[in-house]
Amino acid sequence: MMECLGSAPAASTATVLENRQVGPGCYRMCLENDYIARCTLPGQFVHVRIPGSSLDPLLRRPFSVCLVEPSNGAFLVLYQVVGRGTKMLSALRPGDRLDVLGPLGRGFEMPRAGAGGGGDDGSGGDGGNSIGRGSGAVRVALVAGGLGIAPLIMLSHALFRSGVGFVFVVGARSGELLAGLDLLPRAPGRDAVLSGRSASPEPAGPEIVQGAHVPPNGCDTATDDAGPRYEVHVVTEDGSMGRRGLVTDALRDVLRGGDIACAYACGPAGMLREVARMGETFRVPVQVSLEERMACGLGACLGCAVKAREATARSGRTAYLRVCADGPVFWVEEVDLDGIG
Amino acid sequence: MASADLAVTIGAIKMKNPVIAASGTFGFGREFGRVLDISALGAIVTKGITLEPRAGNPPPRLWETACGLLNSVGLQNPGLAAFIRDEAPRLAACGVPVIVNISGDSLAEFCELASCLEGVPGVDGLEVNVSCPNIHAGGRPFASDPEAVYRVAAAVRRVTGKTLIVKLSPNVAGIARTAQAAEMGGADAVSCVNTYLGIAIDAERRRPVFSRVFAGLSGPAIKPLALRAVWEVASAVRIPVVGIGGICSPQDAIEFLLAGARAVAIGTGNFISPMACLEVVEGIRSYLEERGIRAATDLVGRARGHAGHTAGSHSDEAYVYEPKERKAEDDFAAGKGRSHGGEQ
Ligand SMILES: Cc1cc2nc3c(=O)[nH]c(=O)nc-3n(C[C@H](O)[C@H](O)[C@H](O)COP(=O)(O)OP(=O)(O)OC[C@H]3O[C@@H](n4cnc5c(N)ncnc54)[C@H](O)[C@@H]3O)c2cc1C
Ligand SMILES: Cc1cc2nc3c(=O)[nH]c(=O)nc-3n(C[C@H](O)[C@H](O)[C@H](O)COP(=O)(O)O)c2cc1C
Ligand code: FES
Repeated sequence: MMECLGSAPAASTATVLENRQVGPGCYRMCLENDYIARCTLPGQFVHVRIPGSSLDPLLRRPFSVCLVEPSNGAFLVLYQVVGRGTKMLSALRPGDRLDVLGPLGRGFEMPRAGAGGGGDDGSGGDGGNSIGRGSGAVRVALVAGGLGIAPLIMLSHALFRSGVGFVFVVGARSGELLAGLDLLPRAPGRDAVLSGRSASPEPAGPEIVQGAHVPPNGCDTATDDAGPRYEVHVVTEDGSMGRRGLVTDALRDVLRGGDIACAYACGPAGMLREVARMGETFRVPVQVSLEERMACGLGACLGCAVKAREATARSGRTAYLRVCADGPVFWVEEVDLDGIG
Repeated sequence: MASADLAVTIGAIKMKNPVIAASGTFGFGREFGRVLDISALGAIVTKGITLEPRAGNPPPRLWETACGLLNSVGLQNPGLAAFIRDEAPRLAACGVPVIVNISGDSLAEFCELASCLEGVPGVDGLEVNVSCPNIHAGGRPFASDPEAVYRVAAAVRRVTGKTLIVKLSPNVAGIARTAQAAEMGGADAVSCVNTYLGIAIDAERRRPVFSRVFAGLSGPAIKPLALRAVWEVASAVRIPVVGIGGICSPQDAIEFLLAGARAVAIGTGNFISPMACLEVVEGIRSYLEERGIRAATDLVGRARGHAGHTAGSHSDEAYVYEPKERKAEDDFAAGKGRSHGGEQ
């Protein structure tokens, strides 16, 4: 099992540039830290010490890096207030400083057009994980449930930059809980909500009007020549925005199209299990980003265990992987998703 | 002012400072080695090693409490052979004394662990975990019976020339008695304490959080309890005591030294700040230098002079323990392991 592929993590401080509410209980925090901004790969996370927490809450809190802007040393975190730590985080103001440890973990594996092999450690099985199987344009699916969109946003930018087309299926309980759509990559010249200011510390211009760039049918196709085509499919459980239903309903339709080489998913455990099942049905390899309670974040304490599927099967003995160091991104074959959540 | 001398000696291990990374919280050094220079530490203690690989407990394994952390990792480790093959060579090159924490479910297993580690380069000491609360191997933990602790210490003493530390459990009636048993068994030092047994209950699901119900409590929440344990143990034995429990700051560490610990180990504190060990080293240094104290060892047990008669008034039986020479003869057959006694 590999540890993180990128730069060594560093313990340092970050300055809050902006901490803005973007939905009910949902915040977007822009932080200045040059190292994180330069070295983070899509899917990696930072382990944050809540300032002022003293010794209670005791532990750091992990958050995916949602977007980086290396040129001005800034990065974004998208978070939901779910408990004491995130509540304290939401009270931070520009200029406040907090300890960050990162970048941490193994991020998403980027599709390699034409390249075979799946899991980088050979765990992908007998070629079943080959991204970009066959020939022609590689198109991948990104599947986000709620704030699971956070790490996928950074991935979408990386895909966009490397010319890989994608379908982004985004779901939430209701439209107001859809966050981060405004952070998706936009081709230059397009009348984009966020053109030229993704992750900029002081976003100018109008605040996002929910659904402004998402047609009522919940399907938006970028048509620029400058970047690859990508689509955004919005699904809400209450139908308040986009299509009514579950994110996996929309994913099923996308996969039926037959042109998806790989799927990336982050969200609630139930959603991940369903995405994994669909991947199996449609023979599409799936990478998932998992969450587990963490202490060290560095792979030392073995506190963030998830049951390993392949390793267990291979050795005939239960084995566990560390979400913080072996993940948080895993090929679905690697982990037993029945045990999570 | 002259720079303070931080060096301390535990058994045969010469440490450049009294700060150790505690077992189970620091992996095998390399994980934290990506963030800090571990050669600046006094020593590191590895995750507990067992003869065979252990998968550990199913998640959840962690639960945060008020100023504390409950864990139920369950001794997940790659086993002795894999440790020797994959981790020991790397550890040997780290430039820091390495103490291997060993866990067994029988006397024979402890002995086999110790003798297999005897010739392994880079292993400077053994920390015998008689107290892990997560594994129920054959019933009660060794730690709950001083006689059993004595036997483990004596048996390991016979097969190892490395520095032998017995790690005490606080989940016993009289920790000082256990410490004396370890000393009589031939331990060079005792480390004190392991985690306190606790429980977390999930009110939503109306069931215990952990699959094994009990879990080990660590962190600042246990510091006063651990300080008391160190105080009692330091009163009862002549071998060095390694103080452990909730140490997060230099101040915490100094309190343990003053209570009688020769060195300290930091566990949960590493999770709060990955640099905690180094911060504590530097903090101890400035404490000494600002006060013109020559050496860290000058602090050891210095708070004890002020105890008066009150310290014993809430004591458990440890304080009325018989002189250990006599006790040793009463309790254990003469000659049992005595020749290896931890005289130093
Ligand atoms: C790799 C990783 C990346 C993450 N990225 C994001 C992100 O981008 N945005 C975001 O909003 N959240 C993210 N999380 C989850 C986030 O860490 C938790 O929501 C946060 O720690 C809760 O802290 P709290 O003090 O507010 O809640 P607590 O009071 O600690 O707990 C409140 C609730 O949150 C749950 N929770 C606590 N800790 C975790 C945890 N480590 N993982 C999952 N659930 C937890 C508890 O089960 C409980 O129901 C991520 C978690 C991981 C492991
Ligand atoms: C996650 C975790 C794993 C641990 N694993 C071990 C272990 O394998 N062997 C052992 O002797 N102690 C183990 N301990 C106990 C610590 O070494 C230490 O004694 C205890 O946590 C108290 O110190 P602290 O409050 O500084 O954490 C573990 C503690 C934690 C938190
Ligand atoms: S949080 Fe410590 S190993 Fe993952």
